[in-house]
Amino acid sequence: MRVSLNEIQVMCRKAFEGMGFAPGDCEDAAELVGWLQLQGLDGVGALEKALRYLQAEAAQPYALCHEDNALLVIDAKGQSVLRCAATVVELAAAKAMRCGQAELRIRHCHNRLLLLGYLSRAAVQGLHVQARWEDARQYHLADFTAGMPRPELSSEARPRGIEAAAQDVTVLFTRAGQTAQAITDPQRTLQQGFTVNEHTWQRLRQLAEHILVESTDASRRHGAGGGSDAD
Amino acid sequence: MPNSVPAIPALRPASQVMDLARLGSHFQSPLSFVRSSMRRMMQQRWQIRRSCFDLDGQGFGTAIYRIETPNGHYHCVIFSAYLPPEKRSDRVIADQWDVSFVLVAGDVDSAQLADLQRNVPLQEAGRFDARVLVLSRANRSLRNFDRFLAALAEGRQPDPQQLAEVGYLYRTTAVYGNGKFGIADFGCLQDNPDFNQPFSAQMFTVYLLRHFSIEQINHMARALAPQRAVQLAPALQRYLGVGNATGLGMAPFLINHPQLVEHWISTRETALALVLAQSAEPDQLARLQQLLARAQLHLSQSRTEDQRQHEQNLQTLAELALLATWLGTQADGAGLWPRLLAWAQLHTGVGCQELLVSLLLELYPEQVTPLAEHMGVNESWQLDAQMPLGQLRQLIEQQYGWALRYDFSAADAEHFFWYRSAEKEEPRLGIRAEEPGAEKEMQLGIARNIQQCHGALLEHLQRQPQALTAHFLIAQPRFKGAVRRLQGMAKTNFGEIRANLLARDMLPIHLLRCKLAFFGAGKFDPKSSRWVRITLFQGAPLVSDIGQPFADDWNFAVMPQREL
Repeated sequence: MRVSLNEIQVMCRKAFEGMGFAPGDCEDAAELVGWLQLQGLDGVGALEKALRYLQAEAAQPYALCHEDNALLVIDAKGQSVLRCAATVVELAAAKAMRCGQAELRIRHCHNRLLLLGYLSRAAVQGLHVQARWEDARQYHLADFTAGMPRPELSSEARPRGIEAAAQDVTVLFTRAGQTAQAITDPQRTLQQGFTVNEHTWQRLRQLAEHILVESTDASRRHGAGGGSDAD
Repeated sequence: MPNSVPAIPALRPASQVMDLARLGSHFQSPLSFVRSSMRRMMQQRWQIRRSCFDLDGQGFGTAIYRIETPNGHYHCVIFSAYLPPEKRSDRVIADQWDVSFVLVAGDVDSAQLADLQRNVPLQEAGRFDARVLVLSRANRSLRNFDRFLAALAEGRQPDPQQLAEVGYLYRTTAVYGNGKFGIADFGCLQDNPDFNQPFSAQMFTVYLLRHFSIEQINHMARALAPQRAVQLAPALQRYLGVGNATGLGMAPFLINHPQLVEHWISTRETALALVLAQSAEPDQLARLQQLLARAQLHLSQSRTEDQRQHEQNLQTLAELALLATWLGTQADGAGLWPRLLAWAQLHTGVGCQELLVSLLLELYPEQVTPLAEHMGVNESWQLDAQMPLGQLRQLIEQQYGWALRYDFSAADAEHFFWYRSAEKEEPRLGIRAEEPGAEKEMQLGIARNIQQCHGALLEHLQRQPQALTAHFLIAQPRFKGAVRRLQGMAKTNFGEIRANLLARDMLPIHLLRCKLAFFGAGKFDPKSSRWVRITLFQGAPLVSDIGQPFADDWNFAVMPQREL
C-alpha cells in the first residue's frame, strides 16, 4: 500500500510509544524511519526486521563504560539502537565538533543498520562519519561524506574460523574542512508517496493500538463531549 | 524632538501573553489564516468556476469547481448525499455526513473521480493519494437550511437574524491536510505560493464550501418553486459563513507544536509592537473608533448558551463602551496607542484587551499584513548533549519557573489525564481517580514533566556535579523529550502555554479558541468545556467579488441592515 511520509512518522511514533519507548526516543526513532524512506531506503522494512528484538526486550538505560575527550564506550545491554542511541550519537558528535575527532563504540546492540539515520544528522552538520560493524559473514562499512545525508555502503567477506562476530558498532566522527552540498528533491519523493508492506503496516497498527484506551459509554458521553449536539 | 522615530516598544511579557485564559480570549485579526487566504485570492484574482453541478432537487449529487491561480490550477470535488437523522453528529466518531469534499491539485479525470466518489464519503476510512491536498466533510445546520430554503422558495429573503445567531448553512467537523489518509504531505506545498502557509489550503477549501452552500440552496429553492423562488440576496450571501465544530483534538496540536505556536504568537506580538510605535494620526484614530463600534455590534449580535462565554461577551461589551468613551477624550498623536493599551490593561478584562489588540492590528496594514505571509516554521529539535547539567538546571529555573510553581502533591493538580480513545482515536479527558487508562495518558502535562525532570536532575547533580546533559539522559532516558523541548524553547519567548493542563480547574476550551482565532474564527459558541462551534468567513467577499476593489475590511461582520 502507499502511504504519506506523515502517516509513516505518526504510525511509527505511536507504535514506538506502544512498545514503551520513552518520550523523545519515540519521535527520534519515528523520524529515523521516515528519513530512511526519504533516502529511498526501506525504513519500514528495516523496522519490521527490528520488531522482534524491540518487542522482546525490556527497556533499560544504556551503560556508560568509558568516556574521555575522544572516546565514548556504551553498553546497550543487548537492546536495539532505536531505543536511545540518538543521545550517545549526539554526545560523540559534539566531542568531534569540539576536538576534531571522536570515536563511539556501542557494545551489545541490535539493528545496527538503523543507526545510520542518526549518523546522517551528524554528517549533515558537517562531520565525516564512518561506521563499522560485522556479522557472522561480513564486515560492513558505512561512510558519510561531510554534508551528505546518504552514506557509501560497502561490505567484505569475513574469514572463516575466526572468533564469533561481536554485536558492536564503532563510529568515527571527524570534523571536516569542507562540506559537500547534498542535492535532493524531497518534494518529488513526497508527491509519489511511499510503498509499504501491508502486513508490516498492520503490525505497526497493532502496536500503536496499545496506546489507546478502551471506549465506554461514559467516556463517549463525557470524555470529549458534554453539552448539546442539537443543531 | 519632532523628527525622532519612536523606538519599537518591547513585546508584552510571556507571563502575560501565554496565560491560558488570555489565549482563550483571542479574536481573529489581519494575521488570521482566513484573512491572508482571502487577500491572496483577491489580490491575485483567483478564478473559481463551476465545472460540474449535477445536483437533484434535494441538493444531492456532485459538484466540481475549477480554481485557477497565477501558479496553478486545482479542483474542488463535493459529494452531497442524504444523511439519516440518527447519523448526524459533530463528533469525530461520526461515520456519515451531509457533504464530503476534497481539494485536488491539477485535473481530475474520470478514473480519479470514480475513485474519489468511493473514498471521499468514507473520510477517515478512505484511502487517497498526494494529488488530494485537503479532505473534509460537513453537516447542514438543519434549522438554517430549512428556514432559508422555505423562505427563498416562497420568494422572500430569510430573516438575517437567523444568520446572526447561527452564521452558516454548513458546519465542518474536520478539515484534514498534511498527509492524513494518504493525501499530500504539507512538504509537497512548501514551494507552492498558493498554499505554502499553514492551513492555507484547508481555509481555502472551507471558503469553497461556503460558495457551494450558496449555490446549492439557490438551486434547491429553484427546484422547489421554479416560478416563485428568489436567489439569496448578495448582502446575506456575504453575511453567510461556514461553521465548524471543534473538539479536544486541537489541544494536543498546540502542545505538541510549541515552535509553531511560538512563531504565531511572537508574530502577533511583534505586529502589536510595530503598531504601538506608530503615531496615532486623526485618520487612524477615526478608523479605530469605527472598528470598535463594529466589533461592539458584532459581539452584541453573537449568541451562545454557554454561561461563561455569555458573561464574558457581556463584560467585553460593557468594557468596549467604556474604552470607546475614554478614547473619545484623548487627543491624537504619538504615544496614544501604548496609553490606550495600558488603560485597557488597568480597566478591562482579557477579552476586551485581546479584542483591542486585534483591532489595533487593523490600523497599519502595510506594517502588519506582510507578516501574515511568514506564519510557517520548520520544526526541528536539536539536543544539546554537551550542555553542562548545571546550566540545564539554570535554564529550567529561569525559563520554566512558572512550571515549577505548581504544587503537584495536591490531588486537584493531576485531576485529569488526556488520552486517545480506541474509538477513532478521539482525544478525551478522563478523571484520574475514577476512570481507567491513566497509564496510557498523552504527555500534555508539560509543567508536571518539567518538574519531574528538574527533580531527577537535582539528584543526578548531587551524585555527579560536573555531569553533562547527555550523562543525565543516558542514565534517565525518559526525560529526553522534556530536555530537548526545554533546551529549544528556552531560546524563545513564547510557545509554552503557561498552564497545568491536568488541573481540575483547567478549561480545555481556551486551547481550542486560541488556535481557532489564528484560523480566523468568530462567533465562539462553546457547547461544553470540551468542544465549541465557531464561524469562518462570515462577511468575506463572494466568489463574484473576486476582481473587484478590495479593502480587506470584512472582520467582525454585522447583520445586514439595508432592505434586502
